[in-house]
Amino acid sequence: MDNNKPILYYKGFFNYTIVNKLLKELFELQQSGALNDLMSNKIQIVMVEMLENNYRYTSNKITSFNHAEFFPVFKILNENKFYRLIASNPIQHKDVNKLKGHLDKINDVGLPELRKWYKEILKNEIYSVKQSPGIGLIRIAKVARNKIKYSFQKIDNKFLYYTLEILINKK
Amino acid sequence: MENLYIESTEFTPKIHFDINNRKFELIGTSRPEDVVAFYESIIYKIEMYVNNILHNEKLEDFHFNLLFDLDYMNSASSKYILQILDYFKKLYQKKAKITVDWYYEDVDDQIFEDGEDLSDVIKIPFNLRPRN
Repeated sequence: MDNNKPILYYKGFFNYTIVNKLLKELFELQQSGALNDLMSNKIQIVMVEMLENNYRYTSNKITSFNHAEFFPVFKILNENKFYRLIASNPIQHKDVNKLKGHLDKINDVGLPELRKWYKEILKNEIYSVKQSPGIGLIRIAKVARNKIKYSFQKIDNKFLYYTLEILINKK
Repeated sequence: MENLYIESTEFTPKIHFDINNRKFELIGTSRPEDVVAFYESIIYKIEMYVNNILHNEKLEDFHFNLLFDLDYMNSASSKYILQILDYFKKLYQKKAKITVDWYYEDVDDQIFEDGEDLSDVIKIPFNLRPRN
């Protein structure tokens, strides 16, 4: 089924409560039979990591943002052979280089190397002071088994519009 | 030391640290809003327990079972689950019998892969068990 209408959609700044609301909508899709358990599980993992990545760059960092057309967006499209998950949000110019380098490195390695890298970070971060071990983007690629597409569109001199896109194969 | 029991919520797991029966269970979904606040008291209690066992028990005769039956965990939770395992690893390295049962729904399930990955990181073998 190719359908341009997203099966899940939200526009606005994300926080923990909004992500929970979207997760409940995903569970409803699963319960209605629109998604099987395995697919729902993969989408859930990728979706949460994408949204947590999304609000990591917006919460506490963006206090005034008046470009409504560049508000954060998350959507899931149901396409023939895969689900397409797309998350966009404003990001400050200063965050771009590090993020782009990280994404390129993730896209440059195959699954075995990705898994090895993921485990190395987990091992090194067990007792770090950071709340999260910083493996979210690696986990997205590892779970989806696909490369991450990304783009940065200039909004103004302070912000860019950052979009992450990942496919989850149905088989 | 008293047992610890925390009821599950929609996005936090049930925790049962059953000291009398030498069993720790973590069951459900792990995506706490404040992952540090959720796990720090649990980990503190485990640290106290493990230190007490290290000093007072004959470890060759000591056994303890950890049971993980997760539907979902976010990446922040994996770090704290590793901390829990790392404390028990201190006993495991001194010849205590530490068993880890890690439940999954399907071999294609990410929870199965998470179990393999965490076992490899912490260097304790997991019993990967399909849910009935």
